Amino acid sequence: MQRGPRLNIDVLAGLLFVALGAGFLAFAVQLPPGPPRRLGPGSFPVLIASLVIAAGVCVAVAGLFKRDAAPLALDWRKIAIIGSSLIAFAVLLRGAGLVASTLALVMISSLAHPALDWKRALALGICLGLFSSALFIGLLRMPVPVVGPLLNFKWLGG
Amino acid sequence: MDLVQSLALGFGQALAPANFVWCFVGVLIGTLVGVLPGLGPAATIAMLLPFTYGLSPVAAMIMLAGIYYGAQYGGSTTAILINLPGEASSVVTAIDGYKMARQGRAGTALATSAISSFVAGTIATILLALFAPALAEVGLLFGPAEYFALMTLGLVASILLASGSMMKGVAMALAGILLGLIGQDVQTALPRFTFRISELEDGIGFVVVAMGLFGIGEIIRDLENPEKRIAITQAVTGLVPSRADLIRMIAPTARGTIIGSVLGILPGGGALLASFAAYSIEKKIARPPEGMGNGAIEGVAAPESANNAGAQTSFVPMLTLGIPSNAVMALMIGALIVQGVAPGPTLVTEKPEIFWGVIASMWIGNAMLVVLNLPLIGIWVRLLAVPFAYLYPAILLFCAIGAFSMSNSTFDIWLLALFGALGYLFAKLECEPSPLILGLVLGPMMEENFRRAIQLSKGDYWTFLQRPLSATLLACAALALLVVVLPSIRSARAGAFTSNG
Repeated sequence: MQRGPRLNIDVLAGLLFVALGAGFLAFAVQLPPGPPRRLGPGSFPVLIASLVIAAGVCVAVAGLFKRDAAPLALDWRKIAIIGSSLIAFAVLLRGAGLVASTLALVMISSLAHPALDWKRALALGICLGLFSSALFIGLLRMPVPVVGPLLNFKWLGG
Repeated sequence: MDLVQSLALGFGQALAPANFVWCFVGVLIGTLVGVLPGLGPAATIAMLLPFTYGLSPVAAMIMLAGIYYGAQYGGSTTAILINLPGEASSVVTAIDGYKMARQGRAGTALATSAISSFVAGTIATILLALFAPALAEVGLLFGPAEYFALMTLGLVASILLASGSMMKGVAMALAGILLGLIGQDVQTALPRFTFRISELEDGIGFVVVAMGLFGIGEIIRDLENPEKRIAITQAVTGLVPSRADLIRMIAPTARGTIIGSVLGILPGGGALLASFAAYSIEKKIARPPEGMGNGAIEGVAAPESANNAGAQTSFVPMLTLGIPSNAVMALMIGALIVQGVAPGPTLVTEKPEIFWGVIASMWIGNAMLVVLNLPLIGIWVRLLAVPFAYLYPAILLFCAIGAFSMSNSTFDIWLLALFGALGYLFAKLECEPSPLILGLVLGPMMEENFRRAIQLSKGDYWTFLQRPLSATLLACAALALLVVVLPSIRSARAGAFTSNG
């Protein structure tokens, strides 16, 4: 009877909302709800979290009866590449400076595109690093170093 | 203050050298963004918002507004030249516009788009100046219950316009409100859902969420099929339309302007709905010799004037009531709040320089678009040839720097990565992010007004239905939801019956 895959995108979306609502609800019920005349910090979150759960259930149930809904196909590799390129940037920014962290972001994110080999990525990274240093640090006074203390290499020689 | 004085104040602001330059920068960046596929106005405004903090409130709003309508313009350029709408609102322009380009009339199509946009922008600016202050006065009568009801209506409207399933839109909007609750409670300063992370006490920045969902998420999706190649072959000539073409433009432009202005004002409205409505009406009314869909000038003039008029009048609810009607307007509200300006009906009277300055700058910005872009089309076309491989690392970088600049904290870059992954997931789950962004921005305001309304009514929840204005607004919201939900309930039931039988 069920033609489409059972865990189609609608069912999964519904479950995601239910999980989100339930997670918030678990913490919202611990907040003081306040007296009815003067609502405290807990009452509105409980209301909204419950509504998110309800909406999630509706989405999931409707999805169960949908026959043409597609299954979920995620490109995990690309998520990981793009995500880690941003995280590398965040980790390196203060210590290594904007040029090095930009280079890391570009080199890592280039893995997601076949046309960007490491040589081109290196060139693009250096160009973007210098350009953004001039624009954001030079012109807009972003409070990060161009070349950070980690790359000072004095700590190597002692 | 009468209209002439107000407009004089506005033009004084908009023509002040600094503001004039920022308006120029805004429309230029906007056009660039509109031309480049894969980067919408919401993502761009989110990306550039942190860099406007140093500007005066007027300059920041003028520049951000310029990005918005500049992007509409750039989007139609690519729609006409390569059948690739840069923005959703220029999808219908591509139908006849691209046909015109294929017939060697690309220049005429581009000129039609520019001229009808400019005319519509001028008329919409006048309408805005005439009606917005009156609406703001109505807004002054609003109490917390009415505000809550109005924001509910705004959210519902954004859900109705989101593509895909209605229930998912509802869930996304509610999820946005929920995320907006993260941080210190406004009334008691009690931290909520912060998990002892001090960076979360001020709440999740909506700019980071918008960049993640619209910008990063879109990049990951585009990377799935990176072999999209774009070929532009035609040379653009004949930018000056003939007298006959100009005459044919008049009626569709007038119709488009009216439709766009009206739809833009409605909460949840804006450029997208306006251009679709204008095109379908033109299809019913106009009798172009070549037929609609075959390169008719009417098919370009009507949606282009409508989307420009709609883009401008969608500022009305934002500037007069403090209620954003779409994701871009939600970002504008956020920009105002960051600038220390409280959006709402008092904006018109207390900060007339912002209100009238932005309105006047729209007209100036539109004039700049016509003067600048027709000669610059060659450059825009060449930009299209920049391969995506070189573009996406740069977009990633600017998003990361933008997120960091919000509060000089690398924590926001981690959040950006998280919401980027979520944005991709939402796209795959066919959940449109706009209602979530709107919910995120409106959430804290909704809670505050909800709690104040209950406090004023001494704990009586019926207050929302007993006050006539609030009841009417909520009834509109409920009705709008029902109208759309009912058919989908029916079809779901029908589906259930057939699969059982």
